[in-house]
Amino acid sequence: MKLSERLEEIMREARELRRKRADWDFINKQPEPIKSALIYLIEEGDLYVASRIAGVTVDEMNQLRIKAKIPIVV
Amino acid sequence: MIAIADTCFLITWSKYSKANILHSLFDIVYVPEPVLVETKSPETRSFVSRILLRNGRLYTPTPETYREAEELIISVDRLGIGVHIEMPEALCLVFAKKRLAVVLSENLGAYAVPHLIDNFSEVKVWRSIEVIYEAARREVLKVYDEKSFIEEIKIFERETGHLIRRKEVVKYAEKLFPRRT
Repeated sequence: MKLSERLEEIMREARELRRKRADWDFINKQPEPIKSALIYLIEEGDLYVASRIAGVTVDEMNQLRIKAKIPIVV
Repeated sequence: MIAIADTCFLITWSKYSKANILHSLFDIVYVPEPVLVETKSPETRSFVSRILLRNGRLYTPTPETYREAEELIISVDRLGIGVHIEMPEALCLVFAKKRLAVVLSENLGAYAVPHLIDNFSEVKVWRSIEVIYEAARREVLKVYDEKSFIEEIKIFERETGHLIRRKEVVKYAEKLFPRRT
């Protein structure tokens, strides 16, 4: 398997796990831009970019991630 | 051995009860200055402070490093394979290349860079699983068998809200304790 295909597979697998484990009730109750940032985090897995969308620090975004039950999939 | 940690890695490890293994594994752990801006909770600030007090050093990137990091970000984007890195990881990768440091990061893009970009092929990127594996291999972290290694990973996952893919856990468990055939 080519490296690009392997990476694609890892990203797909991680995305599915984040979607499945996330607390969607919590996410849907959040005000914007927090809600969009959490959805971005589920789709892309990038805490730093999500924190920029939310307008908070990475540390604060991580607290939101934990409340939203979004795992960091490694 | 020296290391440089990105923001997400430090925030994650501030929640792990065995984070002190970092002090045993590395002679110096560099903390990029932008990390401090991104850490506000007392828990994370206290953890970063403990690192700096023991064997850590604050690293302030130069404009030249920022330029090289920007080049690296663009090089990864140009590959067009869906992975990407942002400035915090790129700064760590550029630093690691110059100083032969290990990058500590959970970012998939950062982990992939040595495999994707020729002049970064010598850079080592360790995610939490590799740090825990190395700590176990060097007996900094006591694990006695495959089962206790897997249990340690579960503790890490529970304390940090991370999820390490089972294939990765099994791969490293088998590397530590090869099965006799």
